[in-house]
Amino acid sequence: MNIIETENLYYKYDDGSYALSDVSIGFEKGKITTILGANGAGKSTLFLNLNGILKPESGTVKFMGKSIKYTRSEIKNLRRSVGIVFQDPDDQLFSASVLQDVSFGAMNMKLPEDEVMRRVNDALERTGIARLKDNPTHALSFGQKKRAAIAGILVMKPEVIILDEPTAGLDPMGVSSLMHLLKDICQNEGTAIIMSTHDIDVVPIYSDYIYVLDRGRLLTSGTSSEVFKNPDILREHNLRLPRISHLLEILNKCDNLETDFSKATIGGAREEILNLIRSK
Amino acid sequence: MIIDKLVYNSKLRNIAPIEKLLFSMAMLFICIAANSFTVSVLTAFTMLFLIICIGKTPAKNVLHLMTVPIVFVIMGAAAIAISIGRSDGAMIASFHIGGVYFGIGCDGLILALGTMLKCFGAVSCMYFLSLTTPMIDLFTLLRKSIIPNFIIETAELIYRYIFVLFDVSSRIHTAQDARLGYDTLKTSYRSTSCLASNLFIRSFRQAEKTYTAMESRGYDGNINVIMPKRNHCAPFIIFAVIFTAAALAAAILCGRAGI
Repeated sequence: MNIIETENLYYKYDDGSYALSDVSIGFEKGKITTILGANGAGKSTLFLNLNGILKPESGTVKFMGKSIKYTRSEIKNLRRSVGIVFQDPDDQLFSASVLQDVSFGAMNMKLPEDEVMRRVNDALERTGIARLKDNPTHALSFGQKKRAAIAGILVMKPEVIILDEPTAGLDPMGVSSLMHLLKDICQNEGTAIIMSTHDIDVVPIYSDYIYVLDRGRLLTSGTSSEVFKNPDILREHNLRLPRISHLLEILNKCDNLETDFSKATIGGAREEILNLIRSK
Repeated sequence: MIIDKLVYNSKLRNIAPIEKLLFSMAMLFICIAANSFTVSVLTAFTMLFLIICIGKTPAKNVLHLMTVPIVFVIMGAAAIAISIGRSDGAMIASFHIGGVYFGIGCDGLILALGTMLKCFGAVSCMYFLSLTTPMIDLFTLLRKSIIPNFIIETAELIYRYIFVLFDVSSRIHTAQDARLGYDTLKTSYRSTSCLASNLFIRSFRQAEKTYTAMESRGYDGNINVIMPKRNHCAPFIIFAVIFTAAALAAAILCGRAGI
């Protein structure tokens, strides 16, 4: 069952153009769902709609099967259940103290202080920045700030965590440790993870489901092998295949080898290559 | 900015801020009230000893910081030392314009020297606080005071975003410099004005984004954050009490003896 979904969602910018038109998508608990889309596809606008910061022009956002009515208490509840990690950690980290910043969301939920402290320590531990909790925010590196921003959401124990381009600006090791962390949260807590990324090579490794947006419309969706089966649609909309799929596609189309280019992971490609060798 | 870097490396950083604040304020008060050479010098040495030897803040940096107010101190002392009179009777050295004598008198000299030492004593008290207590600790302390919370919250946000804007401005400056933006006086003026207006727009946007991010974490008009509890440091309290008492005793004794 979808924990959060949208039905025929429209969102209009101030200038009258549509940032989102007729978007109907859903997100499951315990799954990582990726939103792909070129710059300006409407990903960030969608995220702010899911968290109740923006109110759609028409259409509905449903949380646990109930449509949001935008009353004060419902919005409060939605924001407590749907956490957003923003792209630039400096936008999110408003406090000079890492500890205090991380505690903000939990304190706003009016939890008792010892519970807040417990959650804060737990979140700092899980994101691997426990030793930095007494440091000033401005002394953190970009990757550390990003982790602090995630910890600030984890303390709220939301059912849904949205991450706007979490891999942007991280070094390769940073990307894989972050993705492991997300996988871990998603599997252990059953949290629904929604993320947008331009790092298309990471997508097939970690995503359970993919939505492709283009200029505010839903272009296609499916599992990674379903989405990457049609590379032409992606290319028409300023996206591309993961490098591994692209290689398999070239082997298929230029060298007339029997390869399945919807396989986009190293494991998948290895299987395809071994099959080729064995069939010779 | 250098103070901010030094304070986080100070070994005295983890002592409860209230203890450091009370100690430095007590010493500051005694130093000013005592009005004595000995007490001023004693205060300055105690504070510098604490900052450098216990706090392990590099002496070079501390002495450099001590020279920051030196210009004001010397100028102020000079104004006190020089006296104007109809005759040069009480003056050690003087010159006159018409019938008016300008010179340095013995009393003036002592007063100027006393003021100078008192200044250094007081400044070292303030440096003790600012080189051992991070801003975030001071904010926590202030939140418990009678100052309205919104003022402290604003100060906290300003403090946090000074660093973000400083970073942005230095990046813009580098980008301008890389394209010869500061080659001549004329282009420098233009680049600086562009930088300033850009920073203004950026900070506006930054405020908007930060507000959105805070809202999404349930911001309700009050910045609710956890206040870490600090353990009291017994050795420091004992040390502080002994030194404050010693300074007080010295102040009284020196006051009687007039030194």
